[in-house]
Amino acid sequence: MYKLWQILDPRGILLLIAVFQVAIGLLIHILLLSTVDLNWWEDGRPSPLKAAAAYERSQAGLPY
Amino acid sequence: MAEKYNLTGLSDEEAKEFHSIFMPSMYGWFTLVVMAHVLTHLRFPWI
Repeated sequence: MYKLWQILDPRGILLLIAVFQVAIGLLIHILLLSTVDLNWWEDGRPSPLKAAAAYERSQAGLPY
Repeated sequence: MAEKYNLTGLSDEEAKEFHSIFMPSMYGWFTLVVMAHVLTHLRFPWI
C-alpha cells in the first residue's frame, strides 16, 4: 500500500484532503443551520435559564 | 518494472515513512469523526 505515495504526490494529497475536509465541514454545518429541523442554534435548547429555573422551582413545590 | 511507476520520486523508505504516519493519522481522524457523530446523535438524534 505504501507504494501509493510513489504514484500520488503526498503534498498534493495532504493539501487536497485538508481543503476537502474544511469545505465539506462548512457545507454540512451551513446546510443543517439552514433547516428548521436540525438547526441547533434556534431550537430553544437548552431552555433559557429563567424558564429552566421556574420549572425546577415548580418541581420542587415552591410557590414562587 | 515497478520503478517505472514511481512518479513522485519517493524512495521505498520515504514512501513507507510517509505511509506509517498517514495511515494512523487517518484512522485517528476517523475515530474522532465517529465519536463526534455518536455524541451529537446522543444529544440531538436526527433519525
